[in-house]
Amino acid sequence: MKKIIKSFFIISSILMIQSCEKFLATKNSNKYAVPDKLQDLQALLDDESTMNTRRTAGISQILSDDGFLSPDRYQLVLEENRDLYLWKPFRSKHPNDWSLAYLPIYNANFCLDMIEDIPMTEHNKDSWRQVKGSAYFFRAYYHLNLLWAYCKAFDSETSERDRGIVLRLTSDFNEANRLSSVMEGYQQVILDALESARYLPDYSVNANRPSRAAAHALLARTYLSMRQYEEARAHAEQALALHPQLMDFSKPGDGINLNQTNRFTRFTKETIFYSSMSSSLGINSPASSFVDTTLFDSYEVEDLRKKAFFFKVGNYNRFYGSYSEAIGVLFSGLTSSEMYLIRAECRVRNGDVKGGMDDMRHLLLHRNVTVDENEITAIEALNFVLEERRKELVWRGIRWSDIKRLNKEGRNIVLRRKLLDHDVTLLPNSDQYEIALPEDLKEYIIK
Amino acid sequence: MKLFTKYLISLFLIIICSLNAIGQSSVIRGKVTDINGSSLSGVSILALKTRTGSVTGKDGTFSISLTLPDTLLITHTSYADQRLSITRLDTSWLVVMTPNTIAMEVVEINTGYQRVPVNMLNGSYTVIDSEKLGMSNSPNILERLNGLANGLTFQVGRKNDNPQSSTGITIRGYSTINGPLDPLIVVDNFVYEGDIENINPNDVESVTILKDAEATSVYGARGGNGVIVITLKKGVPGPTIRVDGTISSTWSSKSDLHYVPMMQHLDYIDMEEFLFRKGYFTKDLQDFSRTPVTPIVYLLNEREQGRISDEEYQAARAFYEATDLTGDYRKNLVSDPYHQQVGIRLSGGSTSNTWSLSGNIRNNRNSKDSRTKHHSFRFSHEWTFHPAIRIQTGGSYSYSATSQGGVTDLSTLYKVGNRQVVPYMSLFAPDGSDYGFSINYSRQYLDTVGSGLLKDWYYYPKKEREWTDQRSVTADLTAHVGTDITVLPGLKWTSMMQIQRQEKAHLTHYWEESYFVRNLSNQFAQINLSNGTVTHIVPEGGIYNKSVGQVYSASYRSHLHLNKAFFGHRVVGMVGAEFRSVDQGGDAWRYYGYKADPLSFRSMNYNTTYPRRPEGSGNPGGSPIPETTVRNRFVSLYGNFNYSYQDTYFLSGSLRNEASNLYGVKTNDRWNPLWSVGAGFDLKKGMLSNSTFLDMLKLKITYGYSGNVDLSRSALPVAVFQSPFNSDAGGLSYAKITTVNNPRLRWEKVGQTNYAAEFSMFGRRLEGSLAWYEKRGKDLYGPSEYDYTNWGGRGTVMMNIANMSGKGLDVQVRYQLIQSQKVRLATQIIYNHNVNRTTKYHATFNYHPYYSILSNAGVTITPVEGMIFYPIVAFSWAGLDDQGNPMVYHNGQATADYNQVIQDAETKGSETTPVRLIGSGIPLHFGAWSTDLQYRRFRLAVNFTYKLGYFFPRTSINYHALVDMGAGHPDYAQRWQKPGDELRTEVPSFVYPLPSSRRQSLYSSSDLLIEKADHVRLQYVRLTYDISGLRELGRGINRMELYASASDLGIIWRKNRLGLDPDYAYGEAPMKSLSMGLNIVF
Repeated sequence: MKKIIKSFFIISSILMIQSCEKFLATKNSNKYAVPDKLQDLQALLDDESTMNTRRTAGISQILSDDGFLSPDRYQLVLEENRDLYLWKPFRSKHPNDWSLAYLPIYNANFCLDMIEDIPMTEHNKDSWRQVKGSAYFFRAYYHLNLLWAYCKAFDSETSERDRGIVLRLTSDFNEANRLSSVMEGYQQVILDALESARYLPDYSVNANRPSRAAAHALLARTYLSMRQYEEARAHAEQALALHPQLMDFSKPGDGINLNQTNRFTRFTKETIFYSSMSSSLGINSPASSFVDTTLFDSYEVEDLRKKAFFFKVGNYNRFYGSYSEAIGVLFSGLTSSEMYLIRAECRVRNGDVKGGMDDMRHLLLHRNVTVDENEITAIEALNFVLEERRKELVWRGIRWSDIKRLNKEGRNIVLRRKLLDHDVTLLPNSDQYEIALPEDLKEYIIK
Repeated sequence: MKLFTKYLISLFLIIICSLNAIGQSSVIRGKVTDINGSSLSGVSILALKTRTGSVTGKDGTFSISLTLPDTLLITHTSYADQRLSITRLDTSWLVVMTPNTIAMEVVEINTGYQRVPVNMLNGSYTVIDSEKLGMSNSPNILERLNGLANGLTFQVGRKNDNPQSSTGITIRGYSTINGPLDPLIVVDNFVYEGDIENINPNDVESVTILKDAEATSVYGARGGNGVIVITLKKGVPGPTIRVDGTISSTWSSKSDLHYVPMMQHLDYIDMEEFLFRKGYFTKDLQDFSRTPVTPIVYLLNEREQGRISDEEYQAARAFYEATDLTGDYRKNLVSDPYHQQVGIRLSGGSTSNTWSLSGNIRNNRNSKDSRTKHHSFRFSHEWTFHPAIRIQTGGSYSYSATSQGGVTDLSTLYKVGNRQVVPYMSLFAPDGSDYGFSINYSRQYLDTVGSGLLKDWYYYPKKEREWTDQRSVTADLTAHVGTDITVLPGLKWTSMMQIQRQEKAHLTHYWEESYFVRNLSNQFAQINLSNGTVTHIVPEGGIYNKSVGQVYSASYRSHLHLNKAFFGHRVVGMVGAEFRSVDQGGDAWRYYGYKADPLSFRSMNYNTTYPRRPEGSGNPGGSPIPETTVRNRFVSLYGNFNYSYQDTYFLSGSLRNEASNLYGVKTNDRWNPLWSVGAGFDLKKGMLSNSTFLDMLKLKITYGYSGNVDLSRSALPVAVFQSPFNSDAGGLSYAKITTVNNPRLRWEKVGQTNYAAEFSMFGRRLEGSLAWYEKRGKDLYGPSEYDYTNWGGRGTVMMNIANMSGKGLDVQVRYQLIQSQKVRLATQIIYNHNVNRTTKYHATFNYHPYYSILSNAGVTITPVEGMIFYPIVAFSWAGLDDQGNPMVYHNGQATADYNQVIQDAETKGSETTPVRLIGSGIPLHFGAWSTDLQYRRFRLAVNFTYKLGYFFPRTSINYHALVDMGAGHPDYAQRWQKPGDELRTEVPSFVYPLPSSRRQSLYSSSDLLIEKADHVRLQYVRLTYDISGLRELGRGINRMELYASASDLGIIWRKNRLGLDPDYAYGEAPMKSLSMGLNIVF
């Protein structure tokens, strides 16, 4: 009896220890996973709430001259946040536009780090290229967005010295950060965007995912803001070759409904890549600010954008024309209309006035605006394109970078805020165009 | 299965046989001694069945005649009652009486793994027996510990983000900052993860609280916060079946609900009129805005637009000045809570077979008319079928069903859009009809949208109660089987297995009329204005939501247990292993167009996106969702020993190694070893053996450590996978990184030293224990600011940033003041002191550490080097200036310059911070005092608890909350309004447009609003009348008692003069309750 019990005990203990590791190897939950497979990485990039929605810098919109706050509304803004609206040194803490942008950059870097260990095979080729290309795209997209929001405009003479942003190129949590120059920033964006164009498929399943068209559109944007117009034209052309379609504002079938509060849906026919901007401090939201009156008056009566983009409230107008799911979610992504405008501008600047005006005619036809075919000078044509650019790309966070760029060419755009008791102005090429980094990061970032 | 059936059959046979045993009259002889072997005289002996009695003589011997088989009840006032089952005549019986003391009532302490003789333990523990547990009438066994358990305290409202921090109980303070705070709960040897309400307090034999490292390290990482071991009642051998019956009813008072600070109606209306004039609400009143506005703002706008006259406005305003929503709510929607229960327990058996069977029915209703029916059955059996082999089996089944109508929270009714507390809301409209609450959208929008083709879009709280049926059902089945095999004399092999299956279902039926259905239907109703037709995407009829979940757990344990005595040495020890697995899963789905009788439902298309009102597009949703399956696996190897020499010198030690399959933890790091050592010395048996007044004095010391694991300890980031619910956003499955990887994270380690003394003197009339402990925590997790350029997801991340120390004293003294035949008076005092301090905090902060505490005064642990946990800091209040601006002292001067004050408070390394430490936000001294008076058949027990040496912040008017969120405070009425007011009030003036929020924080974060929280609470009073032995009751009844008790009787002394309850300054305090009941034993 005793012997049997003893041996039983010994055997059972051995069995127990052996089965131990197997027992512990059970996966803990089917909701969580260490994302190390290709489809996991794709799932991270498909998280639109992290990668697309309310992500781009809302401060670019607040700082620009698209809109203004009524004196009453201005009073409601907290004292410490009024500084931003008045282009004064702005002290921000987490969360802010900086932290919002570095989250998708982290995901992108993480995917790039992880995909190193996943070999590309005949079987996984398409999804492998999609992940790699998307990751490069997102990294470039958000780095550019920060460069536009926080830094002075690109200038081949000063950008090597101008303060840039942090270029995060790894997901290693313990790697310290260094501020780069504006020049380094743009170089990295171009490098990443070119890389993404190599991998991305021509088209994506929806506009939350980048495509090759989006990569070229991003490059066109980048080169335009660097005033390298030939490269900008070339990439706009490539983007348009893949995505030429425009929405006709007079055709409800094209996804526009002028009778609804929401005039557009989230993915329009023109959307190449979807992103929307943060509702920074609420100052940029359609519920709080009004559209600049001169800007509003510049639209012709028959121009359908006047009806599609704006909504009259009292004496002023609010912006209602976001290409997104709700009025309050402000679209900031890439569209084919922007590409037509870039190509037109670059063509005109490079001497092809007719080609530029043809692009404009084609675009404006879809807005119910006819442009007569009279001969005009290159300067008139450029002024026309730039004015239309402002009218078409209103409230997309693009204007701030345009102001900086155009002031570099002597356009002398002076921004002005009228307050009850005094006016505040922002002079062209002022140092105030460089926005301070978040205050709570001072300790960490190496200058 | 066959074996099981056989076993069951034999079990029944045994029970039946023992019932029918027929015996004959015989004389039994024996001797009674104490544990030291000295004879005891005057001990009364009673044969329970034969009903004969005897008393021991001077030499401790007795003789008694009885009919076999019978049970002797052996009683003496100073010793614990003993029952002795008599089945044979051939022996002379030796009865060893154990002293009747707090620590000694239980001869062996159940540590959950083994029973260890009490004197061999070197650690600190508290045992609470069923009698004491019966004093309080809470249906929750843990709540019954309040005021009875030394070292245990209820930290009301103090929780961290960890999911295992739900009980609010701390044992000896804290040993972690962000890890789990709940103590581990063990029921009948196994870790209990179910709902604690499923344990019927009447089934509990005793609760043991293990506090120091000796006891807790054997439980591994989860034992770091202390262990509560619950032992359920087992069968008692006896010649007849013992029947315990209990019946009780508890009634609670309605909560007064006046805990939400609210502005006076008139002040609030005036304030809204003022803001309206200033154009504050313009943005909400624009045509496109759908934000709900308050009734007054709505009416003001109507008047301005010329839709109503000024007279109409004034009449409505007069109505709103006099409303009373809380009163209406109490009258119409609140019910009187009650709790009823009936229970019966049968037990019996012989020495080789004992069994117990109990059943219990509970009914209760809470103040929101939620009714719960709870049934439970429990069974246990122990069978010694061979002298060396014992088999234990047991099982329990409990079922509870709760049904509730759609009673909404009062706070929801006070809310209008983003206005949090609108004091003049009413259940009724001015004309007396039910007022329709506009929950999601504005009145203007609801009245015009859909041109009258939509369903009514208002919410009616009174009717909603009938229009929603919510039911939740829980069924819990537990079964266990265990064997004890004596391998060699003194060496036992114990194996145990337990399985538990819990199933839960939540069923909600929204009637067609309910707001839920109307709201969803209106959102997706497609109107064709040209012909006035409506297409309803949401099918007509009700909506039935159903979700089910299951938890299945299995535990297996096997260990060798040694209990050997030789030449004055004694060793008790064990070594073994435990496996545990917990699997959870569930599903949720929805039926549209549902009707219960006659049963009907309609199908829905989940894949199409429809235009949604007021904006966007989507799908009503409700397609079946499989819930996450969670599988937890734990393995542990453990061992311990307790050694004694001559019952005077003691040594002990324990070791445990454990592993789990928690995510992201690398295999090598899965094992986590923990250990403890201890020593003890009995002075009475050692050097003080000549002392006459001293009965026992033992000194003990233990040291050991435990740890804490966090999921975020991961080599790679962990992502959570989600399925799309918003088809608009692309409809792709996606993943989100919720916790970033930090390879540098280490486990938390907590060491504890415990010095304890236990004493008993004057013939055991004065007894007690005293323990001093020190905890040292290393590498504790804490939120640390970091360079969020690296991730951006959060402003802080978890790092090993803190070390802590905890110190404390646990004292428990019990004194039997009077001990006569008729009167017994005993009193017990518990005093606990506990203070936890952050000793090291190596994280980079951009601000002065005091500044980061300022905003969450005393609500979170907030580690700051050198500071206690839950610190409260504040500005020094200096009154108002002549413009009504708040002033605080800074650099010795009263100043209203808030920019300067805040800047100096923020600045890191500032020498002249205006912020000063006030004290602790949790009690540093706490305990209880209970008195038990017995006079003849009456018994009165009273229990007070106290908490001392801490502070709490009270609320006051916050103008930013008032303007931005519509949340007022009665202090508004006291505000500074004109020069000179600064002499009579401390409440700053209301300035509009709002100045910087810094002005407000000077007031809100000042010590003016910090109150002393010290208080004494009357926990319960209980009066019992013992009717046992009254002739009228008949012979069958052994014991019978009637009782009445009152619980949660509120504060009887407090230090703050404002009449605030420091523990419930922000919420609903437990309601006073009264119980009456009857306990009976056949």
